[in-house]
Amino acid sequence: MDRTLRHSIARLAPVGRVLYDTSSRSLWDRETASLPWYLRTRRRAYRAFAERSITPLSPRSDEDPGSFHLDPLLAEAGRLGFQSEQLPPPWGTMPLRGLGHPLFHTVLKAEEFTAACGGIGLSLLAHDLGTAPLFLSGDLRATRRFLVPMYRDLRAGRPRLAAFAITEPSAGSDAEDTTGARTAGPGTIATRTVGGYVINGQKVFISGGAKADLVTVFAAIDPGDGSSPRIDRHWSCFVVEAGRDGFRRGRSEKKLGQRASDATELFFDDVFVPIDNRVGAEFSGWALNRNVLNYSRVPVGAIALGIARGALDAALDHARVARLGNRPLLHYQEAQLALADMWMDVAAMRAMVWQAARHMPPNQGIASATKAFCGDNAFDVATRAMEFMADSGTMSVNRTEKAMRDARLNQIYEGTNQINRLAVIEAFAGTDFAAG
Amino acid sequence: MGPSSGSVPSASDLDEFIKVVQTFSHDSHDTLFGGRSGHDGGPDGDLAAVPQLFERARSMGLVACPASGPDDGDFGVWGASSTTLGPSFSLRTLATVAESCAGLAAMVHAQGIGRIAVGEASTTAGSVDGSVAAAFVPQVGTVLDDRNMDDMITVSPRRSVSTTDNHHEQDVGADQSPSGDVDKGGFLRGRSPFVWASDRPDHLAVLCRRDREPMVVAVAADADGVSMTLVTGRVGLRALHQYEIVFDDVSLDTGSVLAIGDEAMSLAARISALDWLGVAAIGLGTARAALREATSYASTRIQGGVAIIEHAGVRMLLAQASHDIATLSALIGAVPDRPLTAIDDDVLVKHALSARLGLADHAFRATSNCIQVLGGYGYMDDYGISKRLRDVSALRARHGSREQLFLALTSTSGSFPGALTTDDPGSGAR
Repeated sequence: MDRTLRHSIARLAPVGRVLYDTSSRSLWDRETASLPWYLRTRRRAYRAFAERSITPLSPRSDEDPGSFHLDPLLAEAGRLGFQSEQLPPPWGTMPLRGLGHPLFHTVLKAEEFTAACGGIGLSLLAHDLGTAPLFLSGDLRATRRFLVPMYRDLRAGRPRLAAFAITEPSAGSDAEDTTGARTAGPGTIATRTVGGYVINGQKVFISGGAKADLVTVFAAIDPGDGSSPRIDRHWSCFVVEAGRDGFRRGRSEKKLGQRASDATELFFDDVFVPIDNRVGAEFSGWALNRNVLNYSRVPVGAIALGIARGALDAALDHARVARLGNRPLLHYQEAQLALADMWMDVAAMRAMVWQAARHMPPNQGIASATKAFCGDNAFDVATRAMEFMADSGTMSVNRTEKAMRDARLNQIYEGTNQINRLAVIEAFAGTDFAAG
Repeated sequence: MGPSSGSVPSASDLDEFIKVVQTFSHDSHDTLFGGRSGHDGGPDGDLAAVPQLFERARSMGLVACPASGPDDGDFGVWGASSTTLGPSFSLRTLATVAESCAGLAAMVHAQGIGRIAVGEASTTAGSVDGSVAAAFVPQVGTVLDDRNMDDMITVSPRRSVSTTDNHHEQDVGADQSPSGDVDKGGFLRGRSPFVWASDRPDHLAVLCRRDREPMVVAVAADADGVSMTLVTGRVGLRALHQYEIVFDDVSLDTGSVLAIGDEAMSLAARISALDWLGVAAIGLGTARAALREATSYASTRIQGGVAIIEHAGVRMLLAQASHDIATLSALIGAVPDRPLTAIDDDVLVKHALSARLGLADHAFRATSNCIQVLGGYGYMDDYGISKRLRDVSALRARHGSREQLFLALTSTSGSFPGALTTDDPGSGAR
């Protein structure tokens, strides 16, 4: 703080001095301090883990995803309780005080992990998405059968992973949009058989699909009356464990960004699953899918927020080190204006994510708006951070080009941002949402 | 294969030549990417084929050469004809080549800029020939202005002496200077980290200063004290060679000096301007190709029971991309199409800055929107459109941040961009 200002503050009356914020605490510390204690401790733990264990792996995992092994990280995150947070104790590690706002710790985790690395962060976070249908279905039997033992293994440091599979080669947005779901033909079909179902079809772009021990697969149950199955009427959810006959993993895509996280093809050739592997009732899949998306889109907004924050951090580091003439770039007014703009966007994203995480149960319109707003702004911030560094920004070692590539995915997955905008209107068109 | 040298080509001659360039671009895309979506190569295509494609471009006359001769590439990008014809022909050529691969276009561009750097100088550097690269940008990759004069590569009359932890200068005396002419010879010292080249350059044109006086000098790339490191780990334009070049007491003589004082500043301004214009044109071609690919995909991809091009959301993305491309095209087209020698430096720089800023906004957004049309497939390397985004992002970071470019735009002769088209009778003329 400027010395003259400090002297001036000292002349204020005691109450005036107390009301003047003279603390030199970081912004991160200030925001953490504004949280309830059980979230404060989690946020600090997430950040410590990310800085210690994710950041060092980030460059290599992007440059050569094939050489990146998730298991050691998964084991460490599992032991720390970060991979079993969707159920409260004694089954999981969700903070008990957070039962009223079960998304809040997840968005804090998402920001911290992806600020360190978008790809590794997604690898760990996609597990929560894979398990979401189990508990959101309200099917206690499926939760007990599949989720509780998985969480037990994770807390013991045994790496386990779940993946969520809805996207098909011919149904990307259709699987996430009411209009599309009415008209698109599902490509993955479950046919009733003695004792269970036989699943045939293919899924694509499945995050974590290459390594998952358990996949929550959405397939249409053949109505059996000769009519064509529909996503919105006939979808149901099934657990397919790795190792089931006929279940096969295809290629993992080569992607622009978030490269540490695989996006893998899954094939189902006459895969038999017992009735106990069905999650929830038959034909409840469309509602279950939509609700999973309502839960996941706010954390996906937080992933975008984390990537944007990482880009801003990199730009700030550059501005402190790079010199223009005899002064650091940070001393120039135009650089300060650009950085302040980026910071304001990141702060607005965080405000929206934290506000959205307070809604319970999550709302389609709010979740979709958060996802789209943060996705678009993260790409914008990352791009500006890269451009801010000029030629240096094109170099991988300076981190912003990776952030730009990583952030671009947030405008596409979990429903394109166009689909998410339509979801906002679908949710709120009949309300007074403009006044909200 | 270009229009015949020695005569002024007609517009139809030039159009014919552009058709040949289009064929080359199409063939190059086939060679690099198998001519189809879903190619099996790396994310940047078959980079091993790039030298062969560049040689083909050279044999077609697309590549400028500093020396005169039968293969001099007069009508190549920034070849000798650009001095008399004006910049638009080179820009059209670059945009067309970029439709296949922005990195390949950047190689052609880099060689042309090198040629301009040595070819427009009043003093020739004698034997400068072959591959030439221009090292004109100070260390942090910013626009050259009066604030970063200290960052420039320096020419000193004295050789520095290395110690374990630093350098200091040792007065070796004028008689030990290569030329004995302390006004023009000396030792070149400094670093240029972002030098583009079509291949490992044979010669370098370097913007530097002696005390506060700017100079442009030519040095052989294999001269003692020159070290060049190929820079990898870049976001895009991977066909192109980018070097970090360090000059460690590189000996200069009077024949090394291409320009000095105001003449050097003028050359620096023109090199920057043509570089920005070139990358804007490469961005334009890249975005045009992305739009073509996205439109093709949208016409065949079924979603919601119909081709996605029928969905308003998709049409909006395509329309925005088309509008962005038209806007950038207009910004590039606004540069006066007169002989380069007849365009005032400030006018050229202002147009170039606008085009370069337009690239950052319009080519980037258009390409990104085209990715969005393809959804998940657009994000995957196989479809090639994500490579175009990486390439455009590298172009938009070229030599100057947005903020620095804006400041430069307002500092040319103290006038503002509002005067861009009204004070220049040649503006917009095609």
